[in-house]
Formats: sequence, structure tokens, C-alpha cells
Amino acid sequence: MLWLKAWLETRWKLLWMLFMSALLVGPPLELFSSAQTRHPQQLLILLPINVMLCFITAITLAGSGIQTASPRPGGLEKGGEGSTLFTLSLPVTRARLFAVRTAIGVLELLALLISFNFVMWLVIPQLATNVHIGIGYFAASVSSSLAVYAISACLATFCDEGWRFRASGLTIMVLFMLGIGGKLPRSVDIFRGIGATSSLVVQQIPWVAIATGCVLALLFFGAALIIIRRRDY
Amino acid sequence: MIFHLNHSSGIPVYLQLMQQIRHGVETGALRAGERLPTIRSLAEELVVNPNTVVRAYRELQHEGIVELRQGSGAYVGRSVVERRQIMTKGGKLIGSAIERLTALGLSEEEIRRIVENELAVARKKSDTEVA
Amino acid sequence: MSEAVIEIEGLRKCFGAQAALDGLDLRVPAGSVFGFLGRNGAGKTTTIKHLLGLIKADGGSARIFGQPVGDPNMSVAIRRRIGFVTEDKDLYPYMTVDGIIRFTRPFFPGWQRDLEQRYLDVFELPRGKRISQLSKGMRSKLMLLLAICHGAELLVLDEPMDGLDPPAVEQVLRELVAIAAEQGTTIFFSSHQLPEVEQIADHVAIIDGGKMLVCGELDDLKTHYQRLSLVCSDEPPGDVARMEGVVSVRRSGRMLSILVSRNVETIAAQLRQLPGVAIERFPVTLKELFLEHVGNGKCSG
Repeated sequence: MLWLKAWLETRWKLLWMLFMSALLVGPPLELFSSAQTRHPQQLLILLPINVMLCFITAITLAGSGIQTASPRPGGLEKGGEGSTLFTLSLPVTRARLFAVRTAIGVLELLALLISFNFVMWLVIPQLATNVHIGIGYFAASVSSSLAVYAISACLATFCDEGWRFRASGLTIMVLFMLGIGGKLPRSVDIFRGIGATSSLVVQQIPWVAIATGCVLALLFFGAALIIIRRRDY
Repeated sequence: MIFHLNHSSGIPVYLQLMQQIRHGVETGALRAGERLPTIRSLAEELVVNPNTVVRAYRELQHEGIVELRQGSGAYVGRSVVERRQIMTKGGKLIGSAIERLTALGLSEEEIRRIVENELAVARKKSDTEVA
Repeated sequence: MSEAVIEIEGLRKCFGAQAALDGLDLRVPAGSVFGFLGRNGAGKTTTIKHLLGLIKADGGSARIFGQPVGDPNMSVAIRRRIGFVTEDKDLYPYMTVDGIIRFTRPFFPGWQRDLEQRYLDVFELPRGKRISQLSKGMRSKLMLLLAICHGAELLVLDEPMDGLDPPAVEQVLRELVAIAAEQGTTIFFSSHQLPEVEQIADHVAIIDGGKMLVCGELDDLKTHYQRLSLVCSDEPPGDVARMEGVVSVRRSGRMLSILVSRNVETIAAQLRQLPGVAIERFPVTLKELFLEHVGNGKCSG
């Protein structure tokens, strides 16, 4: 039942993201498919959008409701957000509440990524010719989104909604900028796989970036879980 | 038997219940051997704590007005009839005392206060005797 | 002495510089209907939140069912045995009445399905209505339904009658009495409705400033607390306030009003020995008791 609750609470956010992505992606795709030349370089128009999309989605979905699942100490003292008290009085560990909430978020994120990539494949025939590269791109976007999601979820364990948004947004931006400027070592730059140096352009599967993304994701999920376990009462 | 309870009177509810059961016995609303409501049903009907009913029944049992029979409930005691007769006698005594005090010129309120005072004195006496 | 369901000793909690709980001691016997009274901000809700593991205390200890509160291994098991109604009766606004019943049911193995319909009828809660459309009173009743149906041994209710009109209050009281009578459930509730507390509680506790002021069986409190009204022919004695058992003394001319918490006979006897004294006795209501200890009663001369 916790799954249902988490779904009910986040479905509007998901729909909103789907809607936004349609808006963001629609015009460039339109433009692209009607253009005479189908030069791979023009794919570059789509990539930043995809990046933005993944991250905004990740940040939005992640952590939403995590404060509900397991507020930071002191969060409950004055009032406490409405139904939080009811949820916490149920005989469920906070770790479980967090896990379910996070899992639903990840599933929704994946759904979004899959649908976006699927649409891209339809519209850009070049992708279909080289399936490996396409999958590589997909994998890179998944892993970096998961990393962003995890960072956001971890931050959610001690920030309220508004601050979390800003905090995670800021972190991501900083990492991104550093990545573009070439200041980050290859292993840490999770955005390598989906940005300008993405597999689609370079025609290589960005194994390192994918690995980095996954590792970071696991790290931050783990950290969040430990923090929550400690608070479990 | 209908009870009239005043929760904000400051008099414990169990005492009010006891008074009213005793009164019921005196006036004949409750007859000797008659079955009183179960603790549960009376508590639910009057919307009072069940322990209140328990206490009232128990104290009345000590006074001999109520018998608690294992498994079947609370019954008005058989010796109740005698009690009624004593109460009637008592009524006559007090009645003539009131007549005389009224003849002295005391008001109803004053008479009541005297009675309460004397009851308190008597209680103090019996307390010190017991102690 | 029956075993205690809730035991609190020396509980302390500060929010910043302010002490919400300042060495609170409390003991709730099993099977009792326990009224927890205090002004707003006295620490009632803080205590209740601590009992449910929602707030960590700064000092002291609390045990429920003999288990220390805050032991992570036990806390889920404990919560399965407790029904809770929160101060702000907030549930999930997007769910319907039926929805939240179905949501809550699987968490509690002791859930009593036959009671669901009974309480839906008694409390007049429409199954299909969305929680966001329910009034505060209806949400109170819904939370109570959820707490009762899961077959809890202990009900912890924070202002359960908040938002209810008198007939609804009577309904709730009747149901609480029925549960206490039929299932021996311990009911620990905080309330501002003193007449209602007087009606069904067998124990009460009054707290103020995070400390326990008065605690005991309600019948005993009502028997031992008495008000003596004294009229003296001359100057009233000045040392009445220092007599053992006297809580407060109020004076107007030759008349004294004395609130006594015990030894009323001894005090009355001593006072009767003074020249030209007329004494009357009055019982004390819970409201008077409460106000004396917490509100405006403490003054003399």
C-alpha cells in the first residue's frame, strides 16, 4: 500500500514532467525532422535539452515526499507537515518508507527517460543504424540521472523542499560547468556521456561515464539510507 | 430505573450512583431481589467509566444494599426491605425535629446548614473512634 | 497496583531556550481511561509525540508496555499496538474515506473488519468522500475509527473531540466507554473539554510548564478536594494558608474561601474552634481544580 501512496503522491509531478518534456523536445524535433540535411551535428540541439530534462526530472521527483517519509530531527517539533505524523505513527520503519518512495521515483524517472529516448529513436533514423551507440547514450543518461537523483535524495534527508531544490540544482550546475570547462577528471564527470561529448557524436560508448554515474548513485543512496536508519525510532 | 447524573457537580459519579440506587430502593423503584443492569451496559448507557459503576456496586455491596453474584450480575439485596423501614422511621424523627426548629424561627437554609455541620461533627467523632 | 502501560520519568525536552518538558513524571495504569490536562503549550502534545517516537527527549525516560520508547527494534512492534489520533487531524487529502481504511488495514494484523462498518455508521462517515472535503470534526472521527479498528491495546488521543458538536462528542464518549468496557483498552487522551473528561476518565493528570502538578484517580481527587467557606466574627486568622493540605485561600472582609486538597476534616475541626466561625463545605469540580492549579486561583488576602 505504501507503493500506491507514493504513486498517488507523485503522479502529478510525473505528468507535469512528461508535459514539459513534450514542450521542450517537440519544437527541436519538429525542426530536425523537417530539415533537409540530417547531419549528426544537428543532434547537438537535442542533447542539452535532454540533459536538462533528465536533471530537472531527477531533482523534482527525488526527495519529493522524502521529508514526509522521514523528517530530519527537529522537523516534527512544531506541527509537522500534516499527514507526516500519521504516516510515522504507522508500524513501518522509516527506512522502508524512504525505500519505497525512492523506488517509485526511480521507476518514474526511468519511464520518462525511456519515453524520451524512444521518441528520439523514432525521429532520428541515424540512431537506429547504430544500436550500440544509441543504447550507450541511453545508459549514460540513465546513470547520470540516477546519480543526480541520489544526490538529491540524500540532500532531501536534511533539507526542506524549497532548499533541497536549490541545493541540488546548484550542485548539479556546478558539476556541469566544471565538466564543460574540462576541470573535472574524466572519472568524475558524469555528464560526459550525454553532453556534447556524448556517444552519439563521438560514436563511442562512454563506459567510464556510465560507471561513474552508477557508482555515485549507489554511494548517495547508501548515504541517505544510513542517515535514515539512524533516525529510525 | 433512570439515573440523573451531574458530572460537573464535584460529587464523584460513583457516589451519585450509589445515592440514586439507595433512593430507588427506598421509593420502591427497585425491589428486593431485582436485577440491576450489568456494569458494561450501565456504563455504556450512562456514558461513564465502567470502573465508576464497579465502584458504586462494590460499595453498595459493603452496605448490604446490593448483592454481587458470581456470573449472573448485581441484584438488589433481600435485606433491603428492612432498610426501607428504618429509613421511614428516620424520616419521622427528622420530620419532627424540623417542625420544632421551624417553630424556633430558623429558615430552611439555616436548618440545612445545622444538619450538615452536625453530620460533619458526628463523622469526625466516628473517625477518631475508629482510629 | 496494576501494571503501567505508560511510564514516564523525569522527561526533559527543550526547544531552543524554552523548556517544553521539565522533569515530567507520569504513570498510566493498564485499562484506565486517563485524562491528560493542561493549558495550551503546557507540554501535552510534546509528551504524546515523544511517546510515539516522533521526538527525541533531552533527558529522562519513557516506557510503553514496559519497553523503552526509542528502542528501534521494538518501536515498530509497539506502534502496532497503539492507536493514535494526532492534534491536527491531518490525513492524506487525496484519498477517500474508504481509501485510507484500505491503506491502513494491511499494516495491522489485529485489524477488526467488523468494526469498520459499525463506526462508519455511528460516526456518519461517507465511504466515497475525499478527505480534503471532510470537516475537522469528521476527520477527528475518521482518525478515531482508524485507531480503534486496528485493535490497539492503547489509544493515545490528542484532543479527540476537537471540532465536534455536542451530539458528536457524546457519540465519541460512548464509543470510548464501550471500548474500555468491552476490550479493556487503555485510553490516554488529552482534552480541553473538562466536563467530558470528568464524565469518562478514572484518572487525570494536570501538567503545566512541562511539569506534573496533580495526578491521581478522579474519584479520589473529587473526594479529597473540598472548598471550605468560612465566616468569622472578627479578623480571620492569618495562618490558614500554611495549614497542611490547604491549596489556596481567598479573603473578602470577614469571609474566607479555602481550597483544600486533603485533611479536610482536620482543617475544618481546627477552624471550628475559632470563635464565632460558621463553616460550609462545597465540592470542587474538575474545572475549579484545574484553574486553581494552572490558572488564576493562587491568591490570598
